[in-house]
Amino acid sequence: MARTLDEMREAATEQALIRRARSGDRGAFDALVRGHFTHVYAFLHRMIRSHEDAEDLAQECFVRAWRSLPHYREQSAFSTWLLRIARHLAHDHHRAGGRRARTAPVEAASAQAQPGPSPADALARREVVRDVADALQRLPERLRAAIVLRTIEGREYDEVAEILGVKPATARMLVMQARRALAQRLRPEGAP
Amino acid sequence: MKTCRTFRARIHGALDGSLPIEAVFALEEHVRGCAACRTVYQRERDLDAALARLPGPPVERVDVERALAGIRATIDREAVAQPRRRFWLPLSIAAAAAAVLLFFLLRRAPVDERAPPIAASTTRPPAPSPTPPPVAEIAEPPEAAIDPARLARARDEVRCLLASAAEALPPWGEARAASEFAAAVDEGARDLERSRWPVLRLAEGAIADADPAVARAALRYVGARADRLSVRTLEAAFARPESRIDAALALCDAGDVALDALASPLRDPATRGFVLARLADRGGDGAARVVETSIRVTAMNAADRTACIREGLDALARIGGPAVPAILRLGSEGTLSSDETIDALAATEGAAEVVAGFVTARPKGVQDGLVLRALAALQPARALPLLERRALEVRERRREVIECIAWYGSEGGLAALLRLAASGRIAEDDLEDAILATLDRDRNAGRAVVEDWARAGRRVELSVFQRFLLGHPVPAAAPALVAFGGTEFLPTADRRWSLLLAGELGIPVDAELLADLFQRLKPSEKDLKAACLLSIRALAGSERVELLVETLPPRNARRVVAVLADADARSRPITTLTRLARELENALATSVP
Repeated sequence: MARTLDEMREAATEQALIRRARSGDRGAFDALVRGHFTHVYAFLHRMIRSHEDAEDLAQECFVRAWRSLPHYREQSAFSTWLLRIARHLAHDHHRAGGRRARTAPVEAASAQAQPGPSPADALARREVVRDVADALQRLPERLRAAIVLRTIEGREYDEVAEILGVKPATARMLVMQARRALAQRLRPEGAP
Repeated sequence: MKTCRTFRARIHGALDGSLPIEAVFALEEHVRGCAACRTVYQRERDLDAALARLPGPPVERVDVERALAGIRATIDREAVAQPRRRFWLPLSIAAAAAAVLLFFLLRRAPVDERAPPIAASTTRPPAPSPTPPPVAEIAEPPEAAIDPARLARARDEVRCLLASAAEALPPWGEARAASEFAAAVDEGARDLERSRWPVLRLAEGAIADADPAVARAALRYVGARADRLSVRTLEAAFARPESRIDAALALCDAGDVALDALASPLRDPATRGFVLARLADRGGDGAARVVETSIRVTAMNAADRTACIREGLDALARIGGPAVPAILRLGSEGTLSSDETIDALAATEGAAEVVAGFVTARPKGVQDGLVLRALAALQPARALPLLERRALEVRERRREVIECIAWYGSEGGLAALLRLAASGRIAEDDLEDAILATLDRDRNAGRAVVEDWARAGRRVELSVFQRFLLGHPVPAAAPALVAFGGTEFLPTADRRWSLLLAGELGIPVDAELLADLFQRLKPSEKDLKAACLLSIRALAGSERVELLVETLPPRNARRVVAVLADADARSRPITTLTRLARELENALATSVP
């Protein structure tokens, strides 16, 4: 996809910041953190559904990014590289069982976000949203990351593949598997 | 022509935006004409819509500046901890390589050091020095190559530390004493650690020291700080008679990492006792597994099999709940007899509750029959409803499950059996023996069940029980029959016949139950009162009746006594019972105002 002039300018600025940060410029790294922290946090929150944990892991992600900057070869976008680190952190968090500890309830958020025209509709919609959120959380971590990145965050398959550390065709397959698994979990009992 | 399967494979791509527009049109055309594919398509679209409705992350709660401060603080902390991180990176790799090399040198050392090649070791007197020598001269990382002289000084330093700290190590020190001792050694070895000398490996080298105190201290230090590599060293030390006891203690100190290595100390009569004691103190699944294996081995090989098994079972009993699967496995495979298994479980605290959990799912290697026998012996209350449900739902071993419930006896067991009978899903013949055995063991269980169900109004179960008792006239049924006589919501005829049957089947002590009921019956329930009197007379004689009717007005009392005396005089057979009952009813009726 062709990049606009603004995007190119922004990328050039980011590259300069990365180079400065790599040479030890903490101010440049701070600027990178300010630019990317919310995106990283949003991805982590979608993965682990806990504000506190997502914020902690996002901080940890940037600490690791600082440590690993010398190894960053700019072969992928900086944001993609960050999300790759974040995904590993989410994976570790999931394995450590942290997800169960502080998972935020979805009902409240969805009720505020999607008020229905009538109380009955609102309730039904809230239940659907809650079911989908629960089903999403029950997906294997790899499939969850795939569907979050592609279907919810709308990233290109190449980028999803980069973040997941797989080939684009595999990323596509993972997204498809995730959708199937999600549909399976949401299907009422006895439905075909 | 494309099939539905082809189109369905494209649905994902169409929703995903990765399908060419022509293909999307073709798909939509197909979907319009195919109800099945339309359903699938709609379901996928609904999923997309639901995903789109998911609430976004609460980014408004994120304080980027605060997070940035946290990130800076962490980076700063790391920078302080490793001021020359990047500079040190190649050196740390070199140090790691040197440590590996050092390890291999030290691993060979004990064999060589029977005649120590290091001058410092031979020149140092065997008595421990109270203060270790300064370490400044060796406080440089051994990153490049190991200078034999510096290595010798480091080893000597560790040896000296061990010797001085060993004074505080009691001969049969428990795990805590060993841990405190190791902490004291670590404290003294801080400079060596800072210089990245592998103190644990250096201590391993001291295990074969000529000075027994140093060797012993080295063993206990290595035990307290052991990793997997140290375990092999400790096993080798155990093979040497002079260090056997301390090596076994050290293996006990080493915790999980050395559990499997305790097999040899558990086979050795000299170390078996205290190793079992340490494992029992330690507790947990791992310790139970090791003791289980040791019992299995000794049962096969040991000359004093019984004593060895006894020791092992004592240890398992002290471990408690986690040891229960181990005991049951030993019983299931035949290492322990059924009685030994039950005795061992009975001696194990919390075993009953653990075995209760095995009614529905048991650990691998545990026989179902043994679990049932254990439950029958231990009788955990929690298992009874599980057994009842299992008997109802699972045909396998149903007879044994029913027997197990019968062993529970008393009110709970009998009620469970009667509920099974009332369910209609188990033939009454299959339950008959169990119910009768339960009644035999506890005559009052039936009465308690009837009274309880009467309070709860459980007519169906009551009717099943009454029918069973009428069909199985045994002496143990009498108390339950008396209770039926007192159950108000049953038909009067049923109550009366229950009371008369109680008189026929019961024993003298049941007369008191009838007398108690007689007092509680309303004056209008003359027929029931008459039945009570007849049964009391049958069980305890006319004297007991005369005593009972003293509470009636004198005239009624006299008439009752007269009716019964007349019946006695004429030696009426039991076939005239109805007439007698009628006469008694009349005698009692006049007492009603």
